[in-house]
Amino acid sequence: MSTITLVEHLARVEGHGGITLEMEGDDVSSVRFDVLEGPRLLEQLLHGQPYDQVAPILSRICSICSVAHAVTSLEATEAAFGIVPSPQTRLLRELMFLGENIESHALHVFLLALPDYFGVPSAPVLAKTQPEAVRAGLRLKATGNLLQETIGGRAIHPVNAVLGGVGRAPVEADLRELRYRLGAAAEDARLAVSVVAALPPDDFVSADTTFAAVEMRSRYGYVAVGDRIAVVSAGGRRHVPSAEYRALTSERAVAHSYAKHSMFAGEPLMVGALARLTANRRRVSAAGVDAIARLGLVLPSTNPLDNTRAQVVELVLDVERALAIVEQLLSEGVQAERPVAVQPRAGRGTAVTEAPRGLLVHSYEYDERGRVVDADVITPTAINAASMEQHFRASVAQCSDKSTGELTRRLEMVARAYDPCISCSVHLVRRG
Amino acid sequence: MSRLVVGLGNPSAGDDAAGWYLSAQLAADPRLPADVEVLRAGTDLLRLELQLVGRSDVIFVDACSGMAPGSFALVPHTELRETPDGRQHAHHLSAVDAVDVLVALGRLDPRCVRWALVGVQDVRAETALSDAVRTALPAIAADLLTALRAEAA
Repeated sequence: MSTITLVEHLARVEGHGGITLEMEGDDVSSVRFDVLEGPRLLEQLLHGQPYDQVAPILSRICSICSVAHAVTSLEATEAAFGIVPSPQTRLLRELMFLGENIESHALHVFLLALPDYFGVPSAPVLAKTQPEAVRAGLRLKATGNLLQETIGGRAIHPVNAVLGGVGRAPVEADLRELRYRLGAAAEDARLAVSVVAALPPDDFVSADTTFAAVEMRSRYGYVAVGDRIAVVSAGGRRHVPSAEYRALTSERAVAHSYAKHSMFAGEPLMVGALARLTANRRRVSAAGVDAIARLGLVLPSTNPLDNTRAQVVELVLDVERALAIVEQLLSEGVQAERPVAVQPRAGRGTAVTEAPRGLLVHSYEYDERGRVVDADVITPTAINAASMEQHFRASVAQCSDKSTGELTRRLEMVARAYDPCISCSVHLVRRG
Repeated sequence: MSRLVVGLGNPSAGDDAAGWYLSAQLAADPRLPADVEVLRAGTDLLRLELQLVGRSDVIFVDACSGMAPGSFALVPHTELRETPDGRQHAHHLSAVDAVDVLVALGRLDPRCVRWALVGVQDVRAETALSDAVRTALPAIAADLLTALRAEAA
């Protein structure tokens, strides 16, 4: 077997990764997604740590998804100790998630993915040729940042989300500013739909895909919306209780990557915005349904590049939902609440949420003093790694008549459509 | 108008923390001119858009591969050339690309932007500063401070 490195360093993704073809003679036997960032060993770092250090440590797995890690961590510890946050805390945590999703999706759609469709090499060139689109993307990103700063205390590594509650609730002036900014963001989200709906075709790859996402009980959202995972494929719909997540992910180390791969019943899984929409179509609001139609998005999709379109749908949904929460808080008034008192106890707690890139699992076991005995964190990009390679293989097979340069461009587009967060995926290594 | 020094980099990734440490040293130095503000931007430079606009001078302090570990160079943005893999960045949009986006949108004058680059040895996660960079930082901070004081209006 020989290898051909098509992409040594993948551009316009978070972190360091590459794409390599494995050859048997003249035939491509496999396509690898090489994760080049070194191991971070954060799960092992937690062993023996007290419960109040867990979320601050694990929010530092990543600066882009730090809200998802921090809040999911808190929810896992709360599950272990039997702590139930108040409805207001749940709303505030949801606002933080929405802010992070808006920021992350805006960055990915406008600055990382769009350059490919306009035939330009980078975001700065796109900013010269499509300034209104890029400005809209930056405004959406800034609105997402503002949500996170206002509710979480800062834009990355939130400090205001604590066990059992929040440190400081927003005041009315904060909420009025958010309402004003979200009103403007709704226009930018609609612009995003128009821009992406008008993009040239990208249907060069098609493959049956197995999607996995939290099954949302009553509304579209990312945190505390359901306690089981839906796995959706051409073969139907299956369910895995969140507490039994290990049956879903079945992580295994692979020789070419510091990120472990996940499979379910021998199938690679795709998680993220497209998976969420596929598994929860009935929870999408009228505005989201309209966006799906305008984007020409057909669910379930066989095209991984539709993940970018799905992110645009979520921009519409997220701005709408964030505005609704802010209006509710303004209408009802923010209550002065103290965080629920913490009584550590021995036991295990698991939380499964939807980070911007997909399913995120935090699961901890504590001793009777509230110190970590075992910790397990599974990130969406790690779950996606095997599915990404499946779509690489399909792209190679379906684009075999293309030049090496064009094939490379298409593989890079597939990788970027997943919006990988490589830093998150390498939190633990056992290589080889 | 005021001037701005921005420390970039990941404080948990070895020598990539050079920008963080340098900006902290500058901020703590009583000789820093009164019109110079110092910030740390971590890995998301686009969040700083509002702080960048309207400055007479912006200096980004960042780690740079391809230079001798512990070496230092102050480079105008208009003269900065990234290697092809220099854009493949843990910042998801490279710092230079982020500046170029703001320049393209008319939010930043490229003539007012400079890069204070520190040569690095090891940027692996969860490692400390290398000896070469750690021992060089005080002298680099002194050089930057001298330049800032000399350029004071």
